[in-house]
Amino acid sequence: MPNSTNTTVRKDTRTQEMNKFMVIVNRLGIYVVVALLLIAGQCIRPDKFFTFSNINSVLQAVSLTGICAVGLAFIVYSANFNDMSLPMTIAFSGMVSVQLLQYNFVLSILGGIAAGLLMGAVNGFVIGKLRAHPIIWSMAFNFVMSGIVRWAWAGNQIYPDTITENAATAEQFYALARTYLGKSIGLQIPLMVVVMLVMFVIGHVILTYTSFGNQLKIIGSNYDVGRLSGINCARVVFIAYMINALCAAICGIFLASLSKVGAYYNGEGYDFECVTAVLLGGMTLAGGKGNMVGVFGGVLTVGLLTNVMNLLGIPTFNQYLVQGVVFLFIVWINTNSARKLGKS
Amino acid sequence: MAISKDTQEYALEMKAVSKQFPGTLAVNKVDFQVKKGEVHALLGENGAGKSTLMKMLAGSFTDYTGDIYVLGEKVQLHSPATAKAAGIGMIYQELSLARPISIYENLLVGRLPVHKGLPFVNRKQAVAQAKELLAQVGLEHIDPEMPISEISQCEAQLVEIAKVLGNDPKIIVMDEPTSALSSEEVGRLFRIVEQLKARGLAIVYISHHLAEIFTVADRVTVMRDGMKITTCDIGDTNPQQLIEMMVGRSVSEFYKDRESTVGDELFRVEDLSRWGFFHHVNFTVRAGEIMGITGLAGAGRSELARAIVGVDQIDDGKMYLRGQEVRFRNMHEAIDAGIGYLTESRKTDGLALTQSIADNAMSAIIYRRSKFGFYNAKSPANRNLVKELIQRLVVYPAQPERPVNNLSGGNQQKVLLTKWLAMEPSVLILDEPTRGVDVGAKEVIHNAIRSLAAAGSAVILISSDLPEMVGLADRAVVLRNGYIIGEVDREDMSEQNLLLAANGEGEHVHA
Repeated sequence: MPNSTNTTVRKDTRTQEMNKFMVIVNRLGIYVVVALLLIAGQCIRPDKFFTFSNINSVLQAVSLTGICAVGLAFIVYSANFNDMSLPMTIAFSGMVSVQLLQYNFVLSILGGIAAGLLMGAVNGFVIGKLRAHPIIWSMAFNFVMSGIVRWAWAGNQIYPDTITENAATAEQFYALARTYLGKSIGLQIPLMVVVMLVMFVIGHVILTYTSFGNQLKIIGSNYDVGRLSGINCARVVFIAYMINALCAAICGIFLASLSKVGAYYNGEGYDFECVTAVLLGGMTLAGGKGNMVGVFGGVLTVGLLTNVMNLLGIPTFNQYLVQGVVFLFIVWINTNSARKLGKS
Repeated sequence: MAISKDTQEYALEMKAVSKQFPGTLAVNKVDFQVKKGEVHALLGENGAGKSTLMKMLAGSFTDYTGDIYVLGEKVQLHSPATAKAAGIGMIYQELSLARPISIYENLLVGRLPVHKGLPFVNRKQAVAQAKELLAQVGLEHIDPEMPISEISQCEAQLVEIAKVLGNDPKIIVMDEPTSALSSEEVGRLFRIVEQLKARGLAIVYISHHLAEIFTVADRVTVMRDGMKITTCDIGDTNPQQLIEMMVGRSVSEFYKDRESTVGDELFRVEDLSRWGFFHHVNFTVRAGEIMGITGLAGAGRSELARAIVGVDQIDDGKMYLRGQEVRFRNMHEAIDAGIGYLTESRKTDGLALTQSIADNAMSAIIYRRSKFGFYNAKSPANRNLVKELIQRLVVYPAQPERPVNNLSGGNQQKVLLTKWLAMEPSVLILDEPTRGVDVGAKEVIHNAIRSLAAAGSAVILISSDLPEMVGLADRAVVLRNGYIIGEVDREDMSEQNLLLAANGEGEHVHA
C-alpha cells in the first residue's frame, strides 16, 4: 500500500473572509433589483402598486417574454449565445396554428406546436450535429423561414374568423389568451401567466435535476470537455433546441390568439427581448452559468421596470433610456460581485 | 563571473509586497531581491504565490501593497505598459506569439518602424531590426518574414526572448521556459541565458525541474503558502532540502518500489492503425499493471489514446477488452465499457474551468448515476462520493462548490484525476497526468495511480517526464513515428534507456 499517511492536510494560513455584502449580492442576484423595484413602486403609488390587479398586469405583460425566455435559457446555458430564428419560430407556429383552425381547435394547437418543433429540430441538427455557428445559422434560418412563410401565405396575414366557417372555433382560439383561472377563489389569473409559471417550474427541474441539464452545464462551459467526458453533445444540444422551440411555439400560439391574427411579423423583437431577460437573470453568453430562478427574476425585472415607469408617467421614448441605464447597472453589479468573489 | 563592487546593487527589490485575492492572501509580505547579472531561481509548489508575485512585476494588478524598486528607483507597476517601461520583460510558459503572423511583426509588435512622415510600415527597416534581435538569441539564420507557425517550438521560445530583449529590459522573468523543449534545446536555451547574464541582465527563473535550477541558477528563493521561506546561494543547498522547504514536510524517497501483482490480460490491441498517425500497434495490458507508452513529442502517443477511446477514428485493427472484441464510436461507449482517458491539457479539454470541483468530478458519470433521466448533483450519495474523492486526492481547498479556475494548477490536475477515479475504470489511460504540477501534488497523484493499479485496474501511462515513467511503470512500450519499436522491462527501466529507445537507439529497440 502506498504511503498515504504522509499526505495529511496541512493548515492553510492564507484563507480569508469573503466580502459579506458581495456574497449576499451574488447569492440573491437579480432579486436585489426586483426588491428595489418593488420598494420603488410602493413609494410611488402606495394606493395602487401592491394591488392584485397591478401585480397581475405586470405578470401578464411579461408572460409571453417569460415563456420564450424559459426555452432560450437552455440555448444561452449551452453557450450557443442566442436563437436568432426565435421571431420566425413564433410567427410560423402561430400561422400554422391559425391555418389549421379550419379543421378543428385541438389540431390547430398540436399543429402549431409541431411547426415550432420542426424548426427546433432543424436548428438542433444543424447546430448540434453539424456544428454550424449558432448565430450565423439561426440568423440565416430566420431569413429563409421568413421567405418560406411569405411565399406559402402569399405575403398575407390570416385571420381565425375567416379561416374557419365555425365561429365557435375561432372564439375558442381567441379565448386562449383571454382565459382567467381561479375565479372560484376570487382571483383572476390569466392562463398565460399560469402557463409561464408552470413552464418556469418545469424548466427549473429539467435544468437542475436531470442528467440532460447537468450535461448541458458541462457542454456549456466547454464543449470539448463534454465530448471527452462521454457526453453525447449532439443529442444534448438537439434537446436544448427542441425545448427552446417548444416554448417559442407556445408563445406563438398565445400571441396569435392575443392579436387575433396569424402574421409573419408576430414575434419580431422577441429574440433580443428574451435574451436580455435571460442575461439579466444571471446567465452569461459564455454558457454554463446561472439558473432558472434567476431567469424568472430577469423577466420580472423587465416587467416591473416598465410598470414603475408607467406609474411615474414617463413617456415611452424616455423609458428606453431608463431601461438601458438600469440594465447596464445590473450587468455591472453582476460582474463586479462575481469578480469580488473570484467567480469570474 | 566577476562582479565589480559598484555593480553589486540590486536590479530588482520587492519590499514587503502583498496581494490579496477574494478569500485568499496569495502573497504575504514577501521580500525579494535580484542582483544584476544573476539568474535567480524562484521555487514553490503550485499555488505558493510565485505566479502572483511575477504577475505583480508584470503590472497585472492595480492593488498590490508594498514597494518595488528597479535599479534602486521606486516604481508603481500598475499596468503592463508601466512594467515594460520600467524595464521588466516577461517570458510566459504559454507563448504570446501570434502564429500566422511573420516573425518580424511579432518581434516588433507595437513599435513597427514607419516611413518618415507616413503612416505606413517600413518593412525593410523592420526586417533589419528583427534580424538584429534574432542574432542576439542565436537565430541569425532564420528569415524574419516567415510566419511563427513555420518554426519549431524551441525557436519560437527564442523568438519570444528576442521580443522581450527588443524592449531593452533590465530584468527578465522566465516562467517554465523549458516545459516544451527537448534536452538539446534546453542546452541551447541555457547558453543564451548565460549570454544575457554576462550582459548584466537580472533573470528570474521559474521551474519545477530542480536539475535545471542547479545547472543555471546562481541563487534560489523558495516560497510556500504565499510567504518567502528562504533565499540562498545555489551552492549552499541541495535538491532534497529545497523540496522539503517547498512542501513543508519531509518527503520520503520519491519513487518507492511497488509490489506489483499483475493479473490476467485485461486489454489488448492488435494491428491498430490510423493512417498517418500510428500504424500496426500491438500491445497487451494486464490487470494491476501500469504500462508506459514512451516516445518523443509527436510520436503519436496522444493520437493512439484518442483513437482507442473512440474520439478519433480507427482505420484498421482490433481491440479486445477481457477477451471480447470492442470498438468505440465515441467516448460515451468507452466509458460505458470502463475505459477512461485523462487528457493531456486540463485547460482545453480536461476541465470545465468555470464549474465547481463537484461538477467536474462527476462530469464523466452523470449519465451512469441518473435514474430515468433524473439526476440530482446534490443528492447525499453524490455529495459523499465527491467528498471522498476530494479527501483521497487531498484537493485544496476542500470545498466541493469552489470553481476549479481559482484552484492552483496542481489542484486542478487532482480534480481532473478525481473525474476519472469516479468512474472506477477498469482501464485508465493517463496522458501526462502531472504536467506542470509541483512535487507535493505529484506525490499524491502518483500514489492514487498506484492504488488504482493495486486494486486491479490496468493503467496506460503516457508521460514525457522520465523520472515519472521510471518510477511508476512496470514496463514501457516505445512509440516512434507512429510505430512501436521496442519495449523496456521493469529491470531495465532507467531514464537513459527510455531516452535512447525513444530516439530509436539502444538494445531495447527491436523493430
